[in-house]
Amino acid sequence: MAASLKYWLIALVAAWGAAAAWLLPPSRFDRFIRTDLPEDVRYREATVELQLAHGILVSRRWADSLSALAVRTAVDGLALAHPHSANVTPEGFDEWRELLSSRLQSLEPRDPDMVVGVFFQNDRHGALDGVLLPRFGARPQTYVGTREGSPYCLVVYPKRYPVSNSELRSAGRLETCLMHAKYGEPGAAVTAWLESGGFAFARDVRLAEFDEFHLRRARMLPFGMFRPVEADVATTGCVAGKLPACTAAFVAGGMSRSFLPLIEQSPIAYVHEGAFSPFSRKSDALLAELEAAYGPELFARFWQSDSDVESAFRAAFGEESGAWLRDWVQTEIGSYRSGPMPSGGAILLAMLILTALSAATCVIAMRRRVA
Amino acid sequence: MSSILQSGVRGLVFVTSLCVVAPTTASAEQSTPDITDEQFIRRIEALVPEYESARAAREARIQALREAERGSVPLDTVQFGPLRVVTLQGNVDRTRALFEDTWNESFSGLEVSPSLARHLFTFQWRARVQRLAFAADPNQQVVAIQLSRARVPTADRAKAEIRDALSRSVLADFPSGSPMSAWLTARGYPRSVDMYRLVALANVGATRQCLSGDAGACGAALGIGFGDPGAEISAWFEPHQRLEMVQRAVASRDHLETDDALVRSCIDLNDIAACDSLLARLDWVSWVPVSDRLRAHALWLAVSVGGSGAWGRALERADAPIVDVLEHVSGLSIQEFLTVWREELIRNRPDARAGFGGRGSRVLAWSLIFMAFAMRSTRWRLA
Repeated sequence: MAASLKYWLIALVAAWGAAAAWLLPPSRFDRFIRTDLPEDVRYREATVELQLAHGILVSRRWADSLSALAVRTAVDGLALAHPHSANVTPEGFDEWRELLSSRLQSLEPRDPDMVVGVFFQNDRHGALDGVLLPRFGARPQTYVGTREGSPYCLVVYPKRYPVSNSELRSAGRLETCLMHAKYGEPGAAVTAWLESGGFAFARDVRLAEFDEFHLRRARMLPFGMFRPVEADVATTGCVAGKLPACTAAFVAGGMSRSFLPLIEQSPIAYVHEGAFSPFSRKSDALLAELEAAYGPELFARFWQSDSDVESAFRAAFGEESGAWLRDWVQTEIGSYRSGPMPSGGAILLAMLILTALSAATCVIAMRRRVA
Repeated sequence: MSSILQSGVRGLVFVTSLCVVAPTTASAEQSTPDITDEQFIRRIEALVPEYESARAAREARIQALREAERGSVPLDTVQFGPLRVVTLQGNVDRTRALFEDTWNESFSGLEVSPSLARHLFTFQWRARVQRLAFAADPNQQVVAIQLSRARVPTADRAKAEIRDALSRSVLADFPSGSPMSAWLTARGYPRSVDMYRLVALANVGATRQCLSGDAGACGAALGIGFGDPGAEISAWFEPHQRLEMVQRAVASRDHLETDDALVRSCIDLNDIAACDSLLARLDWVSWVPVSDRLRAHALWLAVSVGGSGAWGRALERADAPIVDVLEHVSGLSIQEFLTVWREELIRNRPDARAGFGGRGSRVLAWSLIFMAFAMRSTRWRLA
């Protein structure tokens, strides 16, 4: 072995030794790793248990009082209310009512029996004094059900502080109650699908209305998404064009699992978790886009079907849900090749470099002469 | 461990019991129908002691860890004016010198700051950064200044970091929404050299004319004096910039009513003459197309020019219009103050010329590396 190579090897081994001395236990590296202590685990479990139980109680009370309020005070199918606030003027409230009323009246088709309620609610209302508040905090919630024979869909915004005119104005959409207002109560399987995550696709928005700021930011990101490879497997696979992944992404819905226990055990149908829906939030408009693509008649057939979501989709639209979602994603998001293999460009570059190095080595070897 | 198991089992039993009685359907009538609210309340009340006990156990453990850490690293406290600084025992002299210098150079009038008295600083520099465990008054806000030798190699840089921390700690002296709180920035204490660069590089007529000697233009670069006699607003800012100033003034403050006819003409019809009239009406605008750090720089300069008692005078006029504050704090008329500010900028013009920057040294380093390899080659080897 050449002497100079020995020096390199010695340096390499020394570097490994230094890294091992620093990293292997006992080392300072453990300071950066947070381990769960038994007290932490017990505290976390007790918190989850208590917040879940308290959330169920609070939501039962809200569902009871707000559904009654909605059914009894609705005018032309719309009920609005907020806790008393000095920051809301009568003109501000009227403007809010006009905003939502005109939105509701403009719907085509529309279920005349469906009562839509949009409420701001004090986040401590109905809660037990001195008990940890439920985990849903200020996240908007959706309640769906039937009261005194009237079907209703409610969007509830929990608030800690008094609301203002501008907050009322910003709640000027029907949000997750849009499709209920148009097509009434969905079939049982679609209901279950909505509650298991499909509501995340059902907001009152169209892609064309997306905020320019949001789209500009999305354009700056690869494929308009935050780190597509770090999204859930179904989303990543669907962006990569895989049909089974797209089917899974549609059937599983776009909601994270964290509130499912609460949704399953309480009257809450959906908890809106903010900007965490897949496909760069564009999937918020998925059902609205689906309806626009196929028309209200076919969409109503899907919405009111009693079959499971995949069958209902196929029967209504004559296409697999995954295939439709895949095409939609390719159009709206783009295609991201998944898998561990390097890209074609990287492989080509690597081959070119290897070829050039091999050629240079050959040339040097051929020019070498024995003295 | 047994308590964890117990807790887990109880949780499982609770959730299972709910699942058994709670079909996963939407309507209010159908979810957990056969459990009354009273039964639910009793369940929650039964969970509260376990939660409280778990929380107490966790807090006790955290406290025990803190107690164990306390005393493991020998600490000392440096007291200087209203400042209290906790540092490692071996760092006391260096800490005192740095804080004294910084205080005397830039903050000597701040003894009266109420929020500074509520702060406790920890300082570590040129030593391995450690967790400093000490008993702190819960009403005190602890500000950690931890500087690594690699990032902050010189005493001047360390003083700049201390200056940033001190300037941030007095932000709460002024009520939110007051001109003073808007002008002081949380981005730290602005250095005059940096401010000169900002002014020189801004593509705005106001900054160009300010450097040429127009004090009114200096005021415009800070967002004041648009209504003064001799104001040349059209020479200081482009029309789209004036429009944006009005838009932001409407969005950020209540001084301009949105239903004002001039506001509507300016914003809806892009009538720039209307925008100019509106700007002339404001004592200061919340945004100008120049870095907002210039304002903080001007304010700190006013404190420095005002000498001892300047901060007290600023506190006296916490809600006053910013021009009044600048005059009251600096003890100069606004025209005199703007001239002083301009001179401060000019004096700090960096003595630097365009060059290769850092590339020259990098090119040299790589050249030396390749030369070294070349010298190792049999064909090129010397000797």
